[in-house]
Amino acid sequence: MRMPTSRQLMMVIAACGGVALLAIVAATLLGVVTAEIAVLLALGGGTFGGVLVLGLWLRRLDGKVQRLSERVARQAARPAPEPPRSEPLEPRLQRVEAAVTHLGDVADRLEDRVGTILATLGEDRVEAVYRHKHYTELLTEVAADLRRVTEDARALVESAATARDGGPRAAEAPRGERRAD
Amino acid sequence: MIGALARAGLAPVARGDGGRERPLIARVGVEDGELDRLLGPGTARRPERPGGARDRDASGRMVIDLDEVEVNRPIAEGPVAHLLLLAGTMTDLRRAVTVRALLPPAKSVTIAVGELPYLHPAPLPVASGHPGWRHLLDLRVRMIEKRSWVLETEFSEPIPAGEVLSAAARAFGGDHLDAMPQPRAALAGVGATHWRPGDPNAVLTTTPRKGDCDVVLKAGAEDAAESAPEDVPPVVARPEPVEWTRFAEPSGYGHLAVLSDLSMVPPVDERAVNPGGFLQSPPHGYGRLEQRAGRWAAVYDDRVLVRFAASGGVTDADVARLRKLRGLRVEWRLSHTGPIAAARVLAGLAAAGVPLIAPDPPDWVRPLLGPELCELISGVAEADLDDDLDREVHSVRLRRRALRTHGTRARWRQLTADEVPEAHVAAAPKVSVVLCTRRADMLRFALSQVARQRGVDVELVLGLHGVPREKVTEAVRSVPFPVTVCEADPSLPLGAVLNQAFALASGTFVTKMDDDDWYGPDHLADLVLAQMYSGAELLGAPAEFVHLEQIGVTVQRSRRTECFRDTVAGGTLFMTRTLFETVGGFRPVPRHVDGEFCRAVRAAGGRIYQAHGLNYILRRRAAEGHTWREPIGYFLAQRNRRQWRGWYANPLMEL
Repeated sequence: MRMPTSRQLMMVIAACGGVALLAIVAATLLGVVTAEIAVLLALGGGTFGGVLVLGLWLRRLDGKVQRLSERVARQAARPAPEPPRSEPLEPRLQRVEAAVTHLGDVADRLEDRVGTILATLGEDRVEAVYRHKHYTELLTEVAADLRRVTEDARALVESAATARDGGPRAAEAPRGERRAD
Repeated sequence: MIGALARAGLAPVARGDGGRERPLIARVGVEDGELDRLLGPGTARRPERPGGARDRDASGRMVIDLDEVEVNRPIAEGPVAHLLLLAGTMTDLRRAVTVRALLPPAKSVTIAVGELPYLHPAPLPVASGHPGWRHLLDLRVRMIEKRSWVLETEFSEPIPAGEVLSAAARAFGGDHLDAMPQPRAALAGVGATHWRPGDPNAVLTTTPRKGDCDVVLKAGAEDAAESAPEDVPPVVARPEPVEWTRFAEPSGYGHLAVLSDLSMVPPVDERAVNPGGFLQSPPHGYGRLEQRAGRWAAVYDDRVLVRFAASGGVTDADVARLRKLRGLRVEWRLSHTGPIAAARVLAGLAAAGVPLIAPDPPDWVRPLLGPELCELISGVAEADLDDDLDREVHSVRLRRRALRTHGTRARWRQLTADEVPEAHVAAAPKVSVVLCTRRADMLRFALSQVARQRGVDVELVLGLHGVPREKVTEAVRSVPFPVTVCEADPSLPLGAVLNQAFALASGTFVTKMDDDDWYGPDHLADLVLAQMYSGAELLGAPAEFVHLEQIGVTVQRSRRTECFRDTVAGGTLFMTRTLFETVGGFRPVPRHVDGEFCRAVRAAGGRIYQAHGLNYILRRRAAEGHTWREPIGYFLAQRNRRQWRGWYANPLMEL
């Protein structure tokens, strides 16, 4: 059975007390009881009501305590919840370490490759400088030779022309200066 | 290159176990990985700043790289209890000698050398005159697995560790004395050790005065200081070796100046890297000098025999590993770490007589190696060296050229020719040739053999043993060198005549030549070189080529050369005048004077070095014409390498 609330209890007790008080007043007016006895009955009824309210309130309190105890017992009897499962740290660390090492190796390899490429470029550059120098010297020599040959050819042409016009004596001198090359 | 040192138990020493204090550790020629193998992981740490070679490892241990050390401050403020010096090879140890003044005094010094050539003489140190040696308590030399050596010393009072280091370097080099010729140099900058290896007299200060030294070498500097004050000696600057990658930078053209001439290449330490140990008939074929992991490596049969140091410095241990190869073919593409380092590798190998084959050399290498050396290495093919004799001829040409242009003495002459020309001793040493004869008919021939000597300043002391002076006057008058005639009593034994003639010699070196043998034009110059790189007291050549005149045959006998021996051919004895006086001259006997002299030198603790035999042909006539009276069968019965009908001379004889 559901326990009445304290307000309901107070309303029932107040209604009962009011009826009892009306009955005492009526009895006193009708002269069934004397005034003194009526006061005594009123006081006795009031005390009885108070004791009843107190008893009911205690019972209600006891019920509450019992429910709390049961709840605590239920909670205590329930199995403890398992902690959330976590993966062991060591393998993860090893994986991270391997990844870092791999990255380092890759970086080293790349660095090596870049170094090799740069070294090749540097070597090519140095060789190119020397080759340029070499070809420049060659070109200078060829230009000088060409100039000399041109001058010789021009002189020959001139001497041939002179020989045609002026006779053998003028033609002999340049022929004697002809170079073997 | 630490050889078997990893098994020498140095890690406990480095940790300071056994109640000893933790040592101060110095290294030279030992790479990071090798140091970790020797002393435990984490020992090696690269310096974080230029010249910052002083670093402590995680355990607080001080590790110093002597190749990268700054020369302007000592390594430690005061004496230390124990110093541990780790050197890769003898060549590296000699570089450490240059900075010996930076090492602190120590009560205990341990020096470990990773790898010496097999059968190297035991390194027994000889104490110098330093008073600290009086406090010596214990000295121990131990060999680890035939190639590595550890030398431990203990003193009752701290002694400058540099003194112990010098003594050790002399011991490993087998010399009683070791010095660099003048001028006296001050060294500055990081990497200066590469420029004057094995010089115990180097000045280490950045602010030298003229009274301290004659010239300053600044390593790693682009140019010499601007106008120097009056009291500061002249400065020679040499830039740090430039790697190929630097030439690829936008400012790469600026580095081309370092390729201008051969004096930009650090010298070859001829006392450590030389033809010693050359094999005339190697068991293996040709190797390749090719790029492996950023450096040049000598590869044979896909196996890396040697990986050269990044600096290009060749060590004695490197050379020893290459001796069994017939030759080394150079793959030019990606030449080592940079042009200077590449040229340095080639110069070192050439100085050691490793037959190099390098066709089509790039243009940049010509000024760094010198045109002659470049021609030599590029002018041969493998087929030209398949014959042992041709291969040795090529090797001799290489070593001559390399030692004369890239050796330490030659390099310093080039470096300081303008700055201190007055400091140099003469380039051509004075050699007195002692020639004793009792055959007037051989005199003109003998004089022609002396006259064709080049590269030395020759003086002739002619000992006449029964030949009247008048008979030689005419022949002697026409020779282009000074001649001193010594007319000896014909009744005297040959030893006594030689003693009289030797007493008249005035050269730095004195040599004995025979009147009937053939000598190549570089015979004396090669012996001068051999004396410089071997440090031996007595030198000579073997009687490897013998012309047997009676039967018209020339034989090449099997002789080990470029090594220390008990005797050398009597007609090639070569020594300092001091040695002759110390030993007391020849025994006054008529025969076996040369053998007796060699015996006396050995007994006195001297060493006899036999150079190559390609400059000398012994003429064998009837036995009665000689003091060495072996029958002709003696020259034919032995195992000969080769035999020619008639007279034969190898190309180096230039006959």
